Amino acid sequence: MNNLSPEMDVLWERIRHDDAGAVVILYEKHYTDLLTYGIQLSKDLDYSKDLINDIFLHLWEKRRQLKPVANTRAYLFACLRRKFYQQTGNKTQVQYLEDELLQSISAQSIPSQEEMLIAIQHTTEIRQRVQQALSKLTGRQQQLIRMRYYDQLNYEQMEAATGIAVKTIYNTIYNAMKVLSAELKGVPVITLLLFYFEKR
Amino acid sequence: MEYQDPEDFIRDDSFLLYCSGKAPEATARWEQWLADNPGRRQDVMQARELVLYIQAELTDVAAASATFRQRLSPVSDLPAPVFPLWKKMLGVAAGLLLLAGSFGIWRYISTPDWLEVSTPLGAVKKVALPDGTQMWLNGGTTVKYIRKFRQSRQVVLEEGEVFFNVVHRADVPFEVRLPGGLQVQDIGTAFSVKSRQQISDELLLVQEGKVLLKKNEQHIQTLEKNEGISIEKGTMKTTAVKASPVSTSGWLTGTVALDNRSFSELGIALENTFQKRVIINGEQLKNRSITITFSRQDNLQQLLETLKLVYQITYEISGEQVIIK
Repeated sequence: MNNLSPEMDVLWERIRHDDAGAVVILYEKHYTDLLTYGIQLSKDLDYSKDLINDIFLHLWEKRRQLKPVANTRAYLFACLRRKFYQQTGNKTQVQYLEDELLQSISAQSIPSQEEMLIAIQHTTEIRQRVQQALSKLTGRQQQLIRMRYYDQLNYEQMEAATGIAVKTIYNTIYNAMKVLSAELKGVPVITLLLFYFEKR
Repeated sequence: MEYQDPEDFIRDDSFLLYCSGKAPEATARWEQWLADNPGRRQDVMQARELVLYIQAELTDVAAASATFRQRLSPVSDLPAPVFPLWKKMLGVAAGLLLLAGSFGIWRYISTPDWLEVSTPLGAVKKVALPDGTQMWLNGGTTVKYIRKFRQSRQVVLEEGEVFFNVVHRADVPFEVRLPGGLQVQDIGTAFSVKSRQQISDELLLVQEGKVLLKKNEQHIQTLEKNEGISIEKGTMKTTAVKASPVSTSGWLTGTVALDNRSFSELGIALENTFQKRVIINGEQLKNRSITITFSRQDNLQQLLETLKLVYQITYEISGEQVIIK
């Protein structure tokens, strides 16, 4: 986890030397990890996406001032965390956070390397569980879930797009979510996060 | 349905929609449920978080990256960001780039107060507004929206066709202005608006919830689910029309349903769907009305053959161009 990845360091150096392609590769490489971490912090998917875009744009703007880093992933996690805490003053941005959780956030605290490594580990565990659960679904099931809850299509639109009857779509999604809910039973979510906050 | 464990929630269609944060009715329903079951808040939040992790895993990284690259490009074309002047230059650089026409599938133009998004013909683009409202731009569309989206939520349709799935907020109304001067105000809803230079009317179709139609801040009419209205440009004469999910938002997934619309509009819809230049010859034909449903999967030539039989038109396909007479 905390070992240096040579490839990553090359990317970092390329960014420092004005290579815009490198920042895009870095973005793609860490996107889903950061998104998963962003959800842990904000409980909001779209907001997390905005935060990620912001930190990478900022990174690019400040590329000339960047210092070499030992662990790029930990650095990016720390950026996301800092950005999130900077913005939590604006409560409308984080409408899904509970008050007590908000109050436990202290904008001043600077995360230690160790804390970031714990966050990375937790994120990796969550992703592994979710990937494992999703691997139990067929490609068709995944596609329909995406259309329904991601692209926000209604059943008629999905029927028009896929040629599958509404009733079949409904049953396919229902069965898929049944599989997922069984597979994901007991994935630690908020409890672990609370522990994480208390620790600080 | 009984909700025992957090996992039970994620089998519920409306709960999953609620987690997306963009389905007003589901959000209202679950907020009410939470108010009625305060002890279950933690379970709901846990289930919500699980759903978001699934969505994160299903997120299309390539698409996110494409959007990111768009935002990166005006920045990367600047000299080293040293001067405070930089922010002003960003706008200028974006403008110059735009003139050069070197943007990809869609683009942003930044002014101090408004952001502009547009699509070329043949592209459908989904844009998330700062409040979580989603808007889909059909091909050949330009819209502007106010940068400070929190105090007021205003969108201006300049040209084209847009479908909105609005996140309802009672304190900040969501409003879309049409080129003809009408204002469409949402009350928690999904709807589409259309206004094109080649078409003689503006069209509003409602798929979910309710919208208010206003002119000069005066309320004219309320429209509900599956209702629509056509507004003649110039005279502002209104005609009630039927709306269906397919006619309102079928084009998001490549299906077009025109109900008693003009051949001019058919031409634009064909251009958008089949990515060919379509010319309708003759004023009379342009204004002739047509009712038709077709989709991206259809064969263009077979479709035109059907039109030939039903509407007695003739057509020519030459390379990237289609002429209908």
